[in-house]
Amino acid sequence: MAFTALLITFAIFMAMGAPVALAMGFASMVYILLGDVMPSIFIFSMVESLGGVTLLAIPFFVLAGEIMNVGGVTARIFHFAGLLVGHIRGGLAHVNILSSLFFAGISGSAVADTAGLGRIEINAMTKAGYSRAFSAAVTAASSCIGPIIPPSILMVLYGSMSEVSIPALFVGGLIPGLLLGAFMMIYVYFASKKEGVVPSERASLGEISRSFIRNAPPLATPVVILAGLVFGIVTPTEAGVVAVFYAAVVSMAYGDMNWSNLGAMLEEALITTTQIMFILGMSSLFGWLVTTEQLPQAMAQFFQGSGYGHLAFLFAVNVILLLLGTFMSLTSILVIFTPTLVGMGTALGVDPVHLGVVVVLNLTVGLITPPLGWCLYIVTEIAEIRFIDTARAILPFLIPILIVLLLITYIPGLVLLPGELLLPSR
Amino acid sequence: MKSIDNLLRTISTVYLRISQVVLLALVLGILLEVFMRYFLGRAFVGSAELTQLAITWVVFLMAFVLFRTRRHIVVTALVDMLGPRVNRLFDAIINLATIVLSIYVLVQLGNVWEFLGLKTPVFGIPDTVFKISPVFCFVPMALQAALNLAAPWLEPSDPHETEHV
Amino acid sequence: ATYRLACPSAETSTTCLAATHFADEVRENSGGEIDIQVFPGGQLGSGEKAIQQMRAGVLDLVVESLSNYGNFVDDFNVVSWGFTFRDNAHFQSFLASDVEKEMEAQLFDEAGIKMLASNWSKLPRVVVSTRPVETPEDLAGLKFRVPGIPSYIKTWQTLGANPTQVPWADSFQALKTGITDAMEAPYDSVLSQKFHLAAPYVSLTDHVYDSVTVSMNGMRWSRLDEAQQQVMLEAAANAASYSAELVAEAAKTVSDQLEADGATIIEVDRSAFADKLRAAAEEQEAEGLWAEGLYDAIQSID
Ligand code: NA
Ligand code: NA
Repeated sequence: MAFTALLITFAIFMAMGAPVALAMGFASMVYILLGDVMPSIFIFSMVESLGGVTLLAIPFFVLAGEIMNVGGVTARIFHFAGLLVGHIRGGLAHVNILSSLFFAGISGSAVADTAGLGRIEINAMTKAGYSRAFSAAVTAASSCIGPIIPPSILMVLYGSMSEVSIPALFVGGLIPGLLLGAFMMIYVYFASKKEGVVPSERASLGEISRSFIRNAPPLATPVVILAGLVFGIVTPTEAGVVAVFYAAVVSMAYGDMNWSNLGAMLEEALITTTQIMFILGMSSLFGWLVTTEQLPQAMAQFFQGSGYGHLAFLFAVNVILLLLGTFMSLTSILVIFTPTLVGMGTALGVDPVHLGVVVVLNLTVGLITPPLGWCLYIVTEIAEIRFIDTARAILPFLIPILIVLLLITYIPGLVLLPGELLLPSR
Repeated sequence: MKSIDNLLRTISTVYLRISQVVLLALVLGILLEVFMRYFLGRAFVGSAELTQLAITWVVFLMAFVLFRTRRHIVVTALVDMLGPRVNRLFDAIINLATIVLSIYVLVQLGNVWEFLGLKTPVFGIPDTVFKISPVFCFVPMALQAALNLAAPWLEPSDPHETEHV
Repeated sequence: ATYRLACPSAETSTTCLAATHFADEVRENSGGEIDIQVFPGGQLGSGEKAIQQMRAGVLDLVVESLSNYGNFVDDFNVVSWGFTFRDNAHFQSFLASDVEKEMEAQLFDEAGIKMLASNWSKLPRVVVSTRPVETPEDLAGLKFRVPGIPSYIKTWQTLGANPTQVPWADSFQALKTGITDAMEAPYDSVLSQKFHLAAPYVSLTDHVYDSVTVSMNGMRWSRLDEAQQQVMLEAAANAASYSAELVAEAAKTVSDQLEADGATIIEVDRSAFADKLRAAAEEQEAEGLWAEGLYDAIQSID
């Protein structure tokens, strides 16, 4: 009864437009008043859930992305990607996707990708003659690569909640991220026929290599982060700080860094972090309930009883998270469901690293599905079109993404193999 | 009304400045730590404690700033379709609930206070220094919610903050 | 009534098996009136945080190491100081002594925690290193991984090692890459974390004798009737002998496996280490880490 009251309270307040974190707080309060727990658990879990040092990686990865944006790195990445794939049919659309792939290695969030690269990409595409809706859709869809290729805010959050190794999760995102890029480019190759835009001329090898030398440092960011983590030189939090330092040095070397923006950059990092961590804090009672009610064990038994065990479980994860992701805040989904999902996965023999990458990709799709899709909102605003046009144009892009989702869900090796090669001690 | 609003604005500004300084200090401090460990072979004992303390405080201070400036994550899919009158009603209910929650948190904190005897191992920071941080969030938040109820015209308009994930 | 018990280690560990044994016996002998649910793996918290939550009544029972109670009654700090006890027999006499019972009474009066048993067994702590360690002299200059707790750092510094801070999760990598030369760890962790594959010398130092305890929120304890209290105490005592069997068995399994993997297991002369630490122990006592005279009182227990 108390549990039902919790869910209803949360749903009502969220629908009324309350801050998601507070809606969770109201719901917890209702549960405590009706149920059989010591009220003081709320205070303990609220404050102590924030103590995970790993969580601190979040503001640092946001900050690193902000610095690269302000430091003009974004434009350089777009230019370099243009030299590489601008001549293929659907030229700028490919450039758009490749840029996001590169940027994903610097930034931890899809929204940062859309907001940072989006304006450059959409302006360039519409100027070249692509339709506004198509340009917006490519931009939004390709930003989904951001949280899959390391670093990733969602993976840090999942890892710190489930005590799954962050380096293993980061490495696990490599192949799925590359697959996403590849499948989207295949789709774009065929879809661009209709757009009828002539691609740019092929760049010479000399041009490409000169540009590579000039632009290699920002492109190497994920290598720096991963090497530090894989060889055990730094912790995930320290890797975030190293990324900030690296971003600052690179931006200064280009001479584009504007330190007067420092306050604003710090503020942006603080806002993102607090949005996520306040939800985490206010929802922490939920994790306690999941444990004491032994929810995962009960649900795992249900799936074992179905006869398909972990296959049915993974399919259910996909369906449920994709549905929830269309209208709920992704942070709150992750915070609410991670303890249950990891508990069930462990009981059913699903690797928690594999599960983590699948969960994060599921949630990321929520950023580009209407009605609630933050990346869609941003591109709609930049492209100056109606929301319904963006929503319609994005639908076909779900096909390549869902193919990759199914691949990584049912072929765990795509996620786990690089980790087995790079992280032998685990 | 106006003077309460000014007070809350000052608190919000101070909280933001403190948080910015702390975040910058964390960046420099952790960078220095990594450097010392690998180039001088010296480790700084207890940095995890300070980091934890810093992040706990920053989250609660900033949670008030975000509440005042309406930048917490809000799902607006439904309310966007409803008229301004319904929205005003919803806002009132939410503000009321915020006041109730704030009081509830403070009461619960009072109840556990006598049991908080732990100290961190290195610097001996009392647990109470961690657990007091929500007070600095929920007291001004309750005030802000009351002000929003009493004088809705003072409330800033919705800046429509996105969820950065 | 239903009670929640938090257990810090894995479900199949000797600690949590003993906890389950305890819970089962209590359920049976109380005719099902006292239903203790065991939550293993630190799901409901672990360490001093879990004990604090039990104090506040969020948890009913906690199974934790004795040394963790140093956070609530200073005198328990003496347990985690290196080489306080001559051998296991000395440690067991201490646990049964008036000195220890006095500390338990203080825990009940001052912190509202009822310790039901303080003598469940725990696997010994050992030193793994890349070079053999037989005497304190062998520690000289070794880069030695310790957790970031001042008294641990002080212990190994006094013994001549060079304490280095490395997160627990990175310890294997640190041994392998030479960031550290040695570290101390529970016996079973050496095997589960594969430390011996990076540092093949395992010295049975037993530098800290620690036990596993089971405790209850004092208010809830006082609300039980006398017969129920008796059931709890008996079950806690019986679980102690059960855990001793489990631990002996586990220690044998670990040492067999370590030797099969090619590690060298070294017996050490503990008195040489203890002598080096005595003066430092008195310093710690003078600083108020535990009550004055406690260290000597423990030494005079047979
Ligand atoms: Na990324
Ligand atoms: Na893009």
